[in-house]
Amino acid sequence: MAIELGVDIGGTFTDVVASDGNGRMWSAKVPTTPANLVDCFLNGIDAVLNEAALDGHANRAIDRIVHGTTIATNLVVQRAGAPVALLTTRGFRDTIHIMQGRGYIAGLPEDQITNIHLLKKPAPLVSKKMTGEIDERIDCNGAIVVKLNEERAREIIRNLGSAGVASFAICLLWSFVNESHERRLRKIVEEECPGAYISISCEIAPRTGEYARTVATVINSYVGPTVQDYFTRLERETAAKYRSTVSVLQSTGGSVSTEEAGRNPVRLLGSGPVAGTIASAALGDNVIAIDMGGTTFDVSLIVEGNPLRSNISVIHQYEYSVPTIELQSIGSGGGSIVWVDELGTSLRVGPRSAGAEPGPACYGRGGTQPTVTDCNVVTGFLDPEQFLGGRMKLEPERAQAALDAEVASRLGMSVVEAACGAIRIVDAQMAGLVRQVTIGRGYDPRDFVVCAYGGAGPLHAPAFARELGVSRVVIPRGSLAAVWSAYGAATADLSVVVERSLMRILPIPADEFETELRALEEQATRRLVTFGAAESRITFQRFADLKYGMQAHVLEVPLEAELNEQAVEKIPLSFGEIYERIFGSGTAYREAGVQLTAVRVQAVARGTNTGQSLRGSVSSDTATENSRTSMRAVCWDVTRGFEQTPVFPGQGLVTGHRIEGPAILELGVTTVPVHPGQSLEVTPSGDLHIHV
Amino acid sequence: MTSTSETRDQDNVQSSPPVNQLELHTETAEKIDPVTFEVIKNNLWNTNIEHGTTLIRTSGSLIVAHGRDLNPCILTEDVEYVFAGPYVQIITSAADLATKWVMKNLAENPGIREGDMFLTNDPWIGATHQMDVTLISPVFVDGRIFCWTVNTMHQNDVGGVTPGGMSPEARDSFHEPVRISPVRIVEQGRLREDLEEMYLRQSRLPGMLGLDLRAAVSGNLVAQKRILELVDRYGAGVVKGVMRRIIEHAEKTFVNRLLKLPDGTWRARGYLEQALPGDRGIYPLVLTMRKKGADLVFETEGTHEQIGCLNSSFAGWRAGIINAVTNALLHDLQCALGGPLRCIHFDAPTGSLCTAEFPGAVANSTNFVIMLTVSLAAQVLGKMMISDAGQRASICASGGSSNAPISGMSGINQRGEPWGGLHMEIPAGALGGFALNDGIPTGGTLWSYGTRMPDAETEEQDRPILFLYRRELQDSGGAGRWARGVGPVAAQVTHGADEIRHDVSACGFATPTSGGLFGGYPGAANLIVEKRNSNVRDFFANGVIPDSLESLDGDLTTVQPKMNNLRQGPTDVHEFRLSAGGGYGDPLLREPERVQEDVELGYVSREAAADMYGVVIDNDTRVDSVKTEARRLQMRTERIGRPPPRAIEESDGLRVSEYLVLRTAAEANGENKDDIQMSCRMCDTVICGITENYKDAVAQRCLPLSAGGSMMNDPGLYVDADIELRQFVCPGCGTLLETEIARESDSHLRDIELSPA
Repeated sequence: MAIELGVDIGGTFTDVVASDGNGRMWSAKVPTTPANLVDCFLNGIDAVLNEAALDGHANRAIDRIVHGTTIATNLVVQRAGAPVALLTTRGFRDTIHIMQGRGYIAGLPEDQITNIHLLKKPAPLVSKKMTGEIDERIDCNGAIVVKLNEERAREIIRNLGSAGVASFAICLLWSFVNESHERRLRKIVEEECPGAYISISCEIAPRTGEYARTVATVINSYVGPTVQDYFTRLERETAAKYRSTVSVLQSTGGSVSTEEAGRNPVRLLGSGPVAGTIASAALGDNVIAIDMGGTTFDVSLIVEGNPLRSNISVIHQYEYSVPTIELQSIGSGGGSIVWVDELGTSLRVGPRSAGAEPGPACYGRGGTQPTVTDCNVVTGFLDPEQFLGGRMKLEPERAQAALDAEVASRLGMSVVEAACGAIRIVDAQMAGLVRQVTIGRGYDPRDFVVCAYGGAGPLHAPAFARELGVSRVVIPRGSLAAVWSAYGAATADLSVVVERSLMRILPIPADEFETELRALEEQATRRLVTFGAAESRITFQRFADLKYGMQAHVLEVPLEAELNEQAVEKIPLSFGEIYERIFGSGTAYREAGVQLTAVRVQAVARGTNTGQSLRGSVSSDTATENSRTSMRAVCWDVTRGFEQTPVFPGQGLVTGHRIEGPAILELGVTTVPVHPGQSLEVTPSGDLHIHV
Repeated sequence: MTSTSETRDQDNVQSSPPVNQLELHTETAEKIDPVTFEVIKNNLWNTNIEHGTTLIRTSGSLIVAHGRDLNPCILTEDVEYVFAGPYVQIITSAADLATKWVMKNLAENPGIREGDMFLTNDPWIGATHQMDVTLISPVFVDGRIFCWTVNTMHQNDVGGVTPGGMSPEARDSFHEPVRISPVRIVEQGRLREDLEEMYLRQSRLPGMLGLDLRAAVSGNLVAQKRILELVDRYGAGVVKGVMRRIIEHAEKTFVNRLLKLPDGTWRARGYLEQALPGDRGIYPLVLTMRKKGADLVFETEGTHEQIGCLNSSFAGWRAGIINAVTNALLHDLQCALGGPLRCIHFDAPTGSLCTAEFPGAVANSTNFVIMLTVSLAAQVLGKMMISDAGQRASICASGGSSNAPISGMSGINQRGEPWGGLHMEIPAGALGGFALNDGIPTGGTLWSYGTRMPDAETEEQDRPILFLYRRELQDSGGAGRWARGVGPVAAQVTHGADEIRHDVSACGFATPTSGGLFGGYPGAANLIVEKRNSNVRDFFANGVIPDSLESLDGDLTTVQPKMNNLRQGPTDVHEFRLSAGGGYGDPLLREPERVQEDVELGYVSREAAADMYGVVIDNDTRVDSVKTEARRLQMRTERIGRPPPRAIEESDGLRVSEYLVLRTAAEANGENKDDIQMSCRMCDTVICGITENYKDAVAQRCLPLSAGGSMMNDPGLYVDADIELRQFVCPGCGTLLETEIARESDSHLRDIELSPA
C-alpha cells in the first residue's frame, strides 16, 4: 500500500510520521536544516521510508504528504520577512504603530505588565516611510464617501515601487463591507509593479477592526514572498523525487494546497503546534492539550471534540484577525531559570528562560544559571545518558554546581532540596497557568483530561495534572508523543475556513442569512475542489459571531445547516444559552439586543486523510511482552530522599499493561514519571493513560 | 456611626481596625518552607487574577471588559493588602479604607457575618469617585474573619445630573451620583432585593448596573472559594503565614530600596484650570514627599483649597500616589501593596483640592487631581531614586493622558437611535522618557496596565462620526535625553447625523500635565479645536482627505476645557489631542543618531530636531555633525548668556539629580573637608552646598511656554494668569538641569531638598 506522511519541521528537529493506512506507523526524527528547509523535509521522508523498509514495508510509493511548518512564524519572530509597502486610507498610516495604545501587551503574562519600564512595542513590521496613504473613504455601510483618487494612488505606488518594494499589503477602512477600492488598488499595483506580491485585507482578514486586519495583511505580505518561494521549491523537488504533491496544514486545523498556502501564509502562523491539537481531538471529548518542549509551553483546549478557535491571534505582541485554533503560549518550558529573590529568602522559578542557547547548565554550553531541566537531572527524573533518546549527553555535575551556587547555598538547602522545591513550584505554576487558560474560556479543568506531548510535556504533566484536579493524563500513542505534531499533520483533512464580516442587529430575514452563508459555502467549495477534493465529500459547519449590544464579548455560535425563519428566531436563544454557560447564569444582558458581527463557514473534505485508521491500533512499540526493567534512583519526595525506582523502556509495553507508581517510563525522546499513588495503563490504541 | 458629612477617611489609613466586636482569625504559622511559600503565594496571586477574570468576563460593560477599569484584591483579616491586581491602578486604594470603615462602623449593627457583602461608592469612605463601586466580602474560617476579598469596578452610570456622572458644572457633590455608605447588600449569601432595587433605581442603565453587581458578587465568591480550598489543603495558619510573609517580604524589599536612598524632601507642582464653565482661574497642586529612613510622608502644602468641580477626596489623592509608587518601586512585587503601605504616610489637612471636604464635588477626581498626582508623584519618586543606580531604570519622566479629558459626545446616531460616549483615544496616551531608555510612543498611560483604544471602525459602527485621521502627533512628546513620549491626535466629522453634541469636562489645556524630568521638556498638553464652517466636504468631493486642520479653510475655534453643549455640524471638523509624555534629561545630550532616527520614524520634525535638540539634519536626512556641534554650543551659550566656560566632560558620583552629584569640598577643590557640595556631573562645576537650593545658584531663564516645543498650547486661551517655562542651567557647561512650568507669580519650586548628613 502507498504511504501517507506527516512532516513537521521544528526549530531543532524535523519529525516525520508515516502510515500505511492499515494501522502500521513509523516515525523518524532528523535535524532541521535552517539554511534550506527543503533538505530536511526530503531527508525526513527518506529516513521514515527507510524505517518502513526495515520493518518490511518495501513499497516506497507515497499517497500524500501533509506538511506542518513554522517557516511563517519564524520569519515574523526573527524579523526576516520581505520589506513591505502598506497602502492604507489616508489618516491611518499609524494604526499599526499605535497598536491600540497598550495593545502590545498581548500575550504577556499578567505579572509582567506592571514592569512598565521593561515593556516595549515590538519592532515595526512596516515602516511609516513605506506606507502610502490613499485618498479614499468608505463608511460603515459600504457607501463611498470619498472615491478612490486613482491618480494620486498611482503616483504613490509608483514611488514605492521605485524604492524597490516588491511586496504590498493593502488595507483600507471598511474594505470588508465594500471591496471595490482595495481590488482596484491591487490592479494599479499590478500595473505599476508587475510581479509584486500583493495581499488585500478583504481577502486575508475580512473582519471589522482595522488594527488586527492591517496586521494580518501586512504579515501576509511580509512572509509571503519567502513562503511562496519555499513552497515552489518544495513542490518541485518532492514531485521530482517522490511523484507526490504536498498539502500544508493551516492554523485553522485543515490542510490546503501549497499554492493556497503561499497566497495566504498568515494562516500558517502557529500551524506547527496546532497539528498536535488536532491529533489530540481524537483522544477525548474535553481535552487540555499540552505541548511542552525545551523552550515552549503551549496550551490548547478541545471541547466536545472540537478544538476551540480564536478569532484574534497573537504573534510577537501583534494581534491579527485570522481565525486559528487557539493556542496559548504560557511559559517557557524546561529552560525556565530557578533563582533566589533579592532578599535571599524566596525560591523562584521563571519567567526568565535560558532558552536554547546557552540553555540549561547541564547542556554544557556555557549556561551557569540553573533551570528546571537541571532540577530534573539532579532529582533523577531525567537520565543524563538518555536525553532526547541519547542524542544529547547531559552533564549532571554542571546542573549540581549551578543549583548549588545560585540557589541551594544561598537558601541554606541541599541541592536536592532546592531541585525538588523548584519542580514543585513549577508544577504548581503550570497548573495555575493552565487553570487560567481554562477558566478564562469559561470551563472547569476538572471536566477535562490532559493530553501531554512534545519532548517535555509527559515529564511534568503527571504532577501538575494532580494540582489541576484532572483525573487522567494521556500520553498519546506512547513514543509517538514526541512526534505528535507530525502525526497530527498526517491526520489533517483538507479544510478551509472562510468568513465575512456582517454587522447587523438581529433579527434579520432568514433568506438573507441563508444567502450570505451559501455564498461562503460556494467560495469554500471552489477552493477545496482546486486542491483536489471531491465535491461530494465536502461538508460544512456554519458559525455566526454574536454579541450583546453595549457588551464586549463576541462568541462564535454554531448555526443550523439550513436556515429558515424558525431557525433564525432560535439564534438569540442559543446564543444566550452559550453565553450563560461560559459567563455564568444571569450574566446575559438580553435587553441590549443581539448583534451579529461575522459569519463563517468551515468546509472539510472528509476522508482525505487516513486519520480514522490512524486512530485505530498502532503496531509499533507494542512488540514484546517481556518488559525488562532497570532501576534508578529518583527523588520523588524530598522528605523521603532518593528511592530506587523501576525504569521501563517504552518498547516493552503491551495493551493492558499496568504500571503502579513510583516508576519511570523511557519513551525514546520523552520520559514519563508515574508518581507514587498513580498508575499507568496502556490502552488498546497504544495510548498511555496515567490515573492521577 | 459617624455622620455622613464628616471627613472620615484619613484617620483610617494608619490605624488598625477596631476589633472589639469582631472575631478575627489571626493564627499564623511561624515556619513555612520556601517552596510551600512560593506555591501558596502563586496560588493567591492566581486567585486574585481569577477574581479579575471573572469580573471581566461577567461584566456587561465595555468600561470593565475593554477598559479594564476594575481592580480586585485580597486583604488580611486586619486589612492589609496581600495582592491587588494589575488593572487600573488609581482605583485600587478604595478597598482597605472602605473595609476598615465597615469593621469600625458596621460590626455591631447590622453585623458582619459569613456570606455577607458590603457595597459602597462613597469617596469619603474609600471610593476614588462615585462611579467606582466597591463590594467588600469577609472570608470566614471557623466562624472568624480570616481575610477579605474586595473588588472595585467603574460603573457606566450610577446617577447624578450628567450621564456617566462627571459634570463640569458640579458645584458640589449633590450634582453628582449619590453616595452610598457601605450597605450589607448580600446577607449570608443572599442578595437583598430591596437594596439592589434602591441601588439600581439611581441609574440610567439599571440593567447594566445590575449585571455588574452580579459580576462583583461572582468575583468575590470565586476568590473566596479558592482561598478556602487553600485553607483546607494547607491549614489556615500556613495560608495566613504566607499572606503575612508576602506582606513582610514586600515591606522588607521596599524598606531595603528606601534605605539605599538619601533622606530629604522632594516637591512637584502642577496646575488644574477652570473650576467651572466660564472660570479663567488656574489652581496649583503641590505634592511634597518627605523621606526619613524607611518612611515616606506625602503632603499637600501649597495646594489650592477645594474649588468648583476640580477636587478629589483624600482617598482618590492617596490612590494616585500609591499608583505612582507601584510603578516606580513595586513594579516587580506583583502589586503586593500591604507591606509598602506600612511605610507610606499622609499628612494632608482637609479642604484642599486633594483632600476635599464633604460636600465638595469630586466625581471628576480621577481625571483631574488623581491623574495629575500620578505624574507629580512619579516626579518626586524619580528625584529620590536617582541616587541608586540599581533603582534608576524605573524612573519615568511622566506618562501621556496625564489628565485624560472627559469629552462626551451625544445625539442621534446614523440609525436614528440616541447615542453617547467619550473620545476613546485616551488609552493610547504615551509613556515618556525613562532614566535609561526611551518611552513608548502612544504606548499607554502610567495609571492603567491594560486599557486599550478601540478601533476607528468599532467607533464608526455605532457613532455618527467619520475619522479624518488618527495618528501619532509629531513633536508632541517632550524633548529630552530620553524621549518619544509621542501622543495621539484624531479628527472627525459628522457622518449620518446632522449634529453631534460635545460636553467637555477637562483640565490640562492651559499647562502641560506631563512634566519633563531633569531637564527634559514637558509633553504637549490636551487640546480640542474645531475648524468650523470648513470646506471639508469640498475636499471629499475632490477625492482628497485633508491631513490637518491647517489645510482646511474655515474658522479655527478653541474649545474650552469646561464647556457644555457645543454643537458640531456637517462642515465642522473636530480635532482632539491628548497630553503626551514628558522628556527625561537635557535634549542636547541625546545622541544625534538617535535624533536622526526620531526624524526618520516621524516622531520629531527636522525643525524640532534643530530647535529642541540642536541636531541639524541635512537634506539627505543625515546628521550634519559640524553644524550640530556648533548649534548645540550656540544653544548652551544662549542658555547661560555667554559661551560656556567648561566643556562637557562626564563624570559620576552620588547623584542627587540626573546631572548633580555630591562631592566633598576636598574633592571639589575646596578647603573645608566636611563641607559637601553639589556639583555638575557634566563639567564638575561646584553649584552649591548640600542644604542649599541649587535653583538659586544656577543660571535661570524664564521663557514663554512655546519654548517647550511647537506643540505647546497658548495658555492665554484658557486662563488669565501668565504661564512660563523656566530653565535651570549649569553655569559651567550650559547643561539643562531642570525645567519647570509655573504661573509667573509662583516662586520657583524647591524640588530637591536633601537632609543634612
